[in-house]
Amino acid sequence: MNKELTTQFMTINMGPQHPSTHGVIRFIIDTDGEIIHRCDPDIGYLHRSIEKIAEKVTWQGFVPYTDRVDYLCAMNANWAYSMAVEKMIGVEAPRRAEFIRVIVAELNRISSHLIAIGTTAMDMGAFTPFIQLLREREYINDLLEMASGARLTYNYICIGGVMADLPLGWSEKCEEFIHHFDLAMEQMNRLVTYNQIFINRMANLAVVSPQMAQAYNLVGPNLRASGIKRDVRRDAPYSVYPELDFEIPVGKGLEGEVGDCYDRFFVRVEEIRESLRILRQCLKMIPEGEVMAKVKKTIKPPAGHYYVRHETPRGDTGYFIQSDGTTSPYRLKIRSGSFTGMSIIGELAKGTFIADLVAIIGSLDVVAPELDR
Amino acid sequence: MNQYFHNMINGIQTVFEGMSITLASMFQGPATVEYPDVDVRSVDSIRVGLKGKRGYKGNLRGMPENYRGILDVDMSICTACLICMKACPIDCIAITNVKCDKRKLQGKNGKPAAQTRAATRFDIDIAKCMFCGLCVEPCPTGAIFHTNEFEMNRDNLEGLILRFVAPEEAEKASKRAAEIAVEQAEKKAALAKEKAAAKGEDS
Repeated sequence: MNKELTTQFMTINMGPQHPSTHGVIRFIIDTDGEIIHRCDPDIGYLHRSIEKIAEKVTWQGFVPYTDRVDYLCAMNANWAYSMAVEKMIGVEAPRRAEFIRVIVAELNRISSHLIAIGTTAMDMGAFTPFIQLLREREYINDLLEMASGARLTYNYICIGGVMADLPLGWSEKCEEFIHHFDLAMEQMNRLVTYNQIFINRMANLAVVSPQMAQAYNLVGPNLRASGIKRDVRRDAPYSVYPELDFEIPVGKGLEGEVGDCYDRFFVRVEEIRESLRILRQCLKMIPEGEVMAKVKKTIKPPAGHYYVRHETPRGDTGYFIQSDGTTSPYRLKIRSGSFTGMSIIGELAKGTFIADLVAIIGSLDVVAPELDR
Repeated sequence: MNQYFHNMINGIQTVFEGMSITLASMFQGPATVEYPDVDVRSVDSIRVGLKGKRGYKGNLRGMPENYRGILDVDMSICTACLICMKACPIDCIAITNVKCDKRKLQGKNGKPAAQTRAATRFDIDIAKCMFCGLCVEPCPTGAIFHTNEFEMNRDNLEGLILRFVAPEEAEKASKRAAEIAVEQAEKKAALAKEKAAAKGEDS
């Protein structure tokens, strides 16, 4: 009986149908008691070969597929792809269309961040904020439905402008919403953001240092939470963003170290405020005029490859398109923020509790369909 | 030690703060309607459905006019030009057409449109359709359009294929097409004869 007592690793599966994986993702976890020893993300359950489909459909025909790449911010994905094709064929959208694009994209950014914040709180066990935020999100859905005619997969921004002008009385309704939403956001902050229990749960957890964030190629709010001020809207401005006045919130380590889960959460809350600021300015500045540039029915861009960067709620999303001068792309590659956000989870989760893993996934705001495409 | 109690009090305070918000929303009316009982299509129908229920806090907007529901086709102005079929990225529209008598139509943006062909088959597979609206945009006469209809429960997949051309009409159109073909062939023959006769006179 001289055998030394040793512990054994237990391998458990989290997912693919786990509610806090935000889609269908599987984590293979080796646990040492309550502590995670190894966490292996297993992706590919939502692969729909969207990039391959692009090679089979026309240039305009791919726009509704970009809705499905990231269904939480379909407007932004529409815009990124349309911008890429516009760059290829040398078409510029009218000024009014650009403003409409900024407005709907920022509305969509707010609704995406609401889901991110709500699900993070829900994964922590607080169900109320999620329901409250979904209720607020309904107003955004209604506004976007009035403009585009659909609630989730909009297909509103198209090559050369937007599908239709905003309906009558839309901007008044939008202003009404912004006014109402300020109060709702204040309530939400009292409910979750400044809740001491929530802060203690999230602070100092899974710290991503700036070096690590850059090494893993994190983008968007995840990168900014680590204290690196980088935003495509400011660094490589497109559309009318240079004319707008807005701040880029970065993680300051309010309650713990810079780059912890709470910082990632708080950067999103701040970004909602900045988006509201952009919306207010845009609603004042929006000019009258056309919403659609003249685009040929059969688009045949010149051969060559193009890369367009776009700031979606999940960060720097890139569309790489190789054209061979025919009516459909030769190759299309989407670079998404969720993928790099996913790749860092393995290292972050090492040494944390199993219960913290859902906090890490929630704070990184990984969306499964964008991950697999 | 002091810090310990301070943290405790702080935690309890924030819990009560959150609870006050939760309790406040308990006394607010519901923000949702019970869907199959309440017709959500318009403001009035929602009002009718909510009769007797107090304190509804959601939006009373109904569905917007431009809502993209199930597709419908107005066959009286359809020119069977196949543009919608080509625009569809998932090929859920199937059209076959034959020649027909020429007819002038009013186009969508005031541009005139002409019909030279009639559809003998116009099927839309709603099971495949993703309601993107790409077929509605290029239609020259506005024959294909989205309705506000979104309930599409059928007992089999076959029922989800909408057929807009009745078999009798298709038969009629193909018969007429055959007649037109015969007429055109006759015309051509007559023309050729005339030409031949003219040539004969010349030589």
